[in-house]
Amino acid sequence: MSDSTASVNGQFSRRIEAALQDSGLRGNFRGAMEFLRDKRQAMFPDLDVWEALRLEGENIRATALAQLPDLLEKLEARCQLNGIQVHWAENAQQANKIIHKIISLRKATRVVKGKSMASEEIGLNHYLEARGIECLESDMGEYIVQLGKETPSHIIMPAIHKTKQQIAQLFHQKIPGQPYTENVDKLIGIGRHVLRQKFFEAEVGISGVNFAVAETGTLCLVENEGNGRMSTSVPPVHIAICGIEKAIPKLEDLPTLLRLLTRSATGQSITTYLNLISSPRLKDERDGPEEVHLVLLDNGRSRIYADPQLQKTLSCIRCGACMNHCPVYERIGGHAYGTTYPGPIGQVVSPQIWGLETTGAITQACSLNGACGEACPVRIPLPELIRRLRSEANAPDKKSGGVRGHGQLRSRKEAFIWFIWSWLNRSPGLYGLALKIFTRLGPLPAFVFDPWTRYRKAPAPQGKSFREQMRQRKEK
Amino acid sequence: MSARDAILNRLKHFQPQETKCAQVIYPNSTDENSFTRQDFIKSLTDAHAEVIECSTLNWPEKLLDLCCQQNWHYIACVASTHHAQLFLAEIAKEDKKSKKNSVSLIDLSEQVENFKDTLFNHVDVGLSVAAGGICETGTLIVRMTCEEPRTVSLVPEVNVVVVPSQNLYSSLEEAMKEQQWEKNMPSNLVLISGPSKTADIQQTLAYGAHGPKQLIVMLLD
Repeated sequence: MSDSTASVNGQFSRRIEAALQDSGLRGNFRGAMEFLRDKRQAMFPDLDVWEALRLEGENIRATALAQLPDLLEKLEARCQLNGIQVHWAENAQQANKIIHKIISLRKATRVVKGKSMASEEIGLNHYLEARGIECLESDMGEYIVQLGKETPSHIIMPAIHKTKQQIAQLFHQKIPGQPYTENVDKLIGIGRHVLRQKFFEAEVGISGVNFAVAETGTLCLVENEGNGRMSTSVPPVHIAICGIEKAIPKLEDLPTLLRLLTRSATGQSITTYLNLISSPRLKDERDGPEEVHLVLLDNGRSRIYADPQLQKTLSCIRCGACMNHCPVYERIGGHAYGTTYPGPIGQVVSPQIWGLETTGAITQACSLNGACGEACPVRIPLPELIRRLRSEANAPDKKSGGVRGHGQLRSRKEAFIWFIWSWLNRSPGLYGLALKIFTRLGPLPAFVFDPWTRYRKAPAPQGKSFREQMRQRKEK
Repeated sequence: MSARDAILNRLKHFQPQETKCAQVIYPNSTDENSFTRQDFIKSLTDAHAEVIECSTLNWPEKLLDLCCQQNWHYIACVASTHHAQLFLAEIAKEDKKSKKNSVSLIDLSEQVENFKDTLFNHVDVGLSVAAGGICETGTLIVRMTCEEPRTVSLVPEVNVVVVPSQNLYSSLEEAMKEQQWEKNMPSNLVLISGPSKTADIQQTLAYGAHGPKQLIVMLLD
């Protein structure tokens, strides 16, 4: 995520307002979310099987996390044995530097990228572009978003906020020589044609990693389009960015996790391609990258690991099911959050990476309905973690432990109001007096209750409180 | 302290002492070994792949017929492989009969730097061989080796994959176990379940995004 982190909290209300007023956007998201939910539901017709499968998924992730440091050491050793160069980055700055160095050593300027949320997280594209390196997104949705100079609004379907008309217009304007067409097959054909040339010319390919298998030193990537395979097989250098939480012990852990991932994300029993990369081009092979680099990214993950409750955040397999089921996300869309990761998982991950003081406001975009927790294929207790972060944001002390930005969003005005409220509610006499005054005052002006009264009448007390009326009735 | 040490130290310091895992009980045992060759064919067909059932003896002839029908002239693969030799023999036989040459095998025996341009711009079909298939999801197991370059099943618009029937497994778990993947992972292994596709434009499915637009599976008996 780029320099816009500072504006997340400050801009949140404005972004929500803008999203809610955009009926086109709301229509797009509603349609898309219903589509994804229905597809996912069709994949899990038996609830008992679903519960067993996700419990197994939770166990695999929990076991892996419990062994994480050992797994990472094993992964590194095995990868190195296979010929993959392993790098470690504590934060975004280090990761960007490492990647830039690899690219500069090859004197390369043309980079093609498969989908990677981790690379969005560190703002890699902007970093490279500022240094004269073209970093082109090759996933169709990411390509569309990059062409429109936007950021993805969903972690699985980045251009979900756009209609085909908007995309048709974008292609017509931005791609030289392309006539306007709304035919989806033709549009995909245009994207294929443009990107094919880029794959051919690319000097470096960058990708993410879905799972990194320590047992065999294997990077596992899932995709439907083939751009991931293109980016990792055709250019002479492949750089894979991998959050440290993605390490799993064995190959045999993959089938369950993949089953959960593909069905939860897009309602598919399997994606078109499952790409298992274990080494660069071997001696007798004809193609494949000459160099493969694995960049292990921390960027706040080891800090999340330190908290037993919040550690479950790291189980996430990035399927997007939580945001597909979130009623708030459906209505405001991904951009309103202003962070790389939107929706429920975004509310949990973003403040832990960038601090509550910059992104904590998004934890308020929650109706506490719990659908996210029920949809999560690895049983991350998202509602519980969102509540924990909200409570940390509002904590009365600013101690340095806990989540970054602990206590930074506490509103003194709100704290004072709650203080008065609790004082009144603990003193029956005072409570009674306050009630008598309030009911005698008559209707308060609407602005006192603004914005509640923007669409409703202000409440008007009717003379006597309920308690008084009941007491009088009893006395009769 | 290096980044590596800093990260590992932090993780080790907070590593949980134990993990309690609840027992997983699947209701009415979901029998993983219940997917068949018919499921394999159906899943692939549903994913818009074309499955041609043939035999070890006649697949080169059927493929050549298909190439002639579809006007595919340039078929790429590594010529020294067994399947390439069989196909070459079939081409030679046909050329002798019809006294003309309409289908040619493009040999990918050099390094990709030498054949990249040809593969991207002139080849119609990439010819591959699968190490097996998975019936549950209609998936081909393609191991990339010196005989099977990565780009053959990726760059050309059409990918033809020859699949021996005796290597069909019910599930991914079974395939991994039977073939002992943990002992012999190739530099690249790709599970292919159909032609390339995307639904990134208004959730509308379109085929031929970046990988092959057509996937043809020659399923041997």
